[in-house]
Amino acid sequence: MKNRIWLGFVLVLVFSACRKDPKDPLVNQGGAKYVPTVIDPTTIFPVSKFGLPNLPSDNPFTEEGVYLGRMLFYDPILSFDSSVSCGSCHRQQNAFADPVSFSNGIYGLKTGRNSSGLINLAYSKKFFWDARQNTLRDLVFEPIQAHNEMAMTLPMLSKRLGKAKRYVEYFDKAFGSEPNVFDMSKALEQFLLSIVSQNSLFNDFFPGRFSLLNAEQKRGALLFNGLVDFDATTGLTTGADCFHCHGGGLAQQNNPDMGGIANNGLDGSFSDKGYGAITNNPLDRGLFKTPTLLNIALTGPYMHDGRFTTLDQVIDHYSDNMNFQSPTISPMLTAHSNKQLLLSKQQKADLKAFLLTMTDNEFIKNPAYSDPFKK
Amino acid sequence: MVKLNKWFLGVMAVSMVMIMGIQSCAEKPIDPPPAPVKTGVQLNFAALWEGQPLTFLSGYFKNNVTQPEYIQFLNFGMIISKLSLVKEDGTEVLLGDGYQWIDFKKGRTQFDYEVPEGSYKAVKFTFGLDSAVNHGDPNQWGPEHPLNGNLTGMHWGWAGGYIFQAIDGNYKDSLTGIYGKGMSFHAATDVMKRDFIVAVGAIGGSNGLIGVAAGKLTKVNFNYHVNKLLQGVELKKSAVSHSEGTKEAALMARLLSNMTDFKAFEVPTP
Repeated sequence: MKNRIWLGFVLVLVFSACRKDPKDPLVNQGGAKYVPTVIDPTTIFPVSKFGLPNLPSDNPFTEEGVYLGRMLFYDPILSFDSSVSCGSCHRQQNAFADPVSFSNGIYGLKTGRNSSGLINLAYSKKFFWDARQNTLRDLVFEPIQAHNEMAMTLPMLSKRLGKAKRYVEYFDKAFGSEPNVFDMSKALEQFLLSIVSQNSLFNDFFPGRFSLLNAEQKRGALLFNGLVDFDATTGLTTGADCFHCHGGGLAQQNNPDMGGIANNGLDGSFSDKGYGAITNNPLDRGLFKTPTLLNIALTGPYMHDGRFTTLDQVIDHYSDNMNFQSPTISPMLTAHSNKQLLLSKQQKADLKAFLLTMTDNEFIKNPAYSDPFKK
Repeated sequence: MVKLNKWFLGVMAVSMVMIMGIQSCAEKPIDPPPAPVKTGVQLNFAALWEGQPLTFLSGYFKNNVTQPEYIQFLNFGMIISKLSLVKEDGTEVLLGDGYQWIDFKKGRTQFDYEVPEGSYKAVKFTFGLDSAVNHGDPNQWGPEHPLNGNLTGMHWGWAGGYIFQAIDGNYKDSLTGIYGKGMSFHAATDVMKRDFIVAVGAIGGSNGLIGVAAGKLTKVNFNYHVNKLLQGVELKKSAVSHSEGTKEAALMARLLSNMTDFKAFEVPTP
């Protein structure tokens, strides 16, 4: 009898351990259920234009999660001296890039590379210029802790978030948890994944509605999407072959091996090894992630070190100044006899006109991505 | 002795209950992996150069032309369709939905397929895609489908259509040279589509069969002899083809002929 009672006690103990933890996402701390509003990804992503991205299965979009991520993105309390937020260096009006070569972290310290634009990240599999991160939830910890960016420690950040009423409420709503850095990274991931730019003239044109383009833009489109081929009579190329690395509706190659990470012939030797510093393979030195060209008119200065301030300079580089002696230059750039394109003045103007069609003016004013602390 | 047995049994029973209880608490995976193939084949694609596995971003492979050239591969992917096994009686069994993206650099080369038990004499596939699919909407495919252009980077966007095969790299005239020259062969456009039936058996050997038994996964190697694809092609004369324009289209057509003429594909008898 005594043994049976003991056995029953153990059984109750064991199975009661399975009871939902109070931090279960669907139960708020008051005991009443709070069910976050799940967002259907097809309402976020333009499936007909870009297809559906592969999303993290353990972090579904919710209204509360995205909003929490948006608050965190714009909140300077994520930095040590509460002076810098993610949004300080990734500005919506610049398609979430920064209009300076190197951004300002806390105490005016400079970043080591140019701040990338943050759009359509759901379609990317590699992040940062050197492609060192594979997920956005891992990515966000880097700028937060970098000494020259936000210089925050995670224990301090946890405490700070826990003291802010807005975060106690929204962590509970989004994740059923008290503020903590792990759910913070998931909320930021949701927000960053939700940032979609798709309403440029280019996106309406793509893949080939030429009637939407004027004559100059049309010529630019043909150059952009044409293979390098020098006309025997004029000596001019009929194609600039931009599309290999900036192709598709996303104007970006997402397969790292097909031009998604490449050396675009900037330098003969590398002060910044880029992807090569991550893989430690000398053949990866000087390779950087190929950025999207969507909103390119807004995201200057250009290149990983912000060396070019204007689109004209970028076009001049690809046309006239390729460094074919760069040891790891992409074969896509050298396959055509290591010959400079030498585009004419008109061709450069045409190409620029086409690049300017990639600006999405709705996106940069979309309130869904704006600073929620600004009224 | 009797008392000890009772205690022993009691402790055992409690332990088992605890283990069972704790196990029932274990979190269920959100997306359970697909059920393992029970009866079928595991196709293993391998890119070889003169019998040796192709490497990427390391080593140089000797292109035996009049003045030898040395190739370093950076990238090698291909899109195939209608991938099937051919039974002894000639009937065909489609593998999955028949589409596959093989990426030798990424190691996306192993695929499991459920097929009925029996004996199979050949692997059949189309290099590339039928025109309707080739020019269809690339956004219709799921995020992990072989025809999802964002996943593979094997879609040419506005020009319409997929790259059926992309091989990129560098080559040198001699191993002592510092800088390589670019090499880029992209097979695309409807006219570059090819159908292949690869009989089971080593090249030059007798034909064999792939046996698939109930409850077993038969491993099948599919070797792609890349040196045969490039046989006789002097890179210093022509190291690039995007399958368009008279000269580049002719070069690509030659490479594709090499596939057949020099038997670039091989399915050894398992």
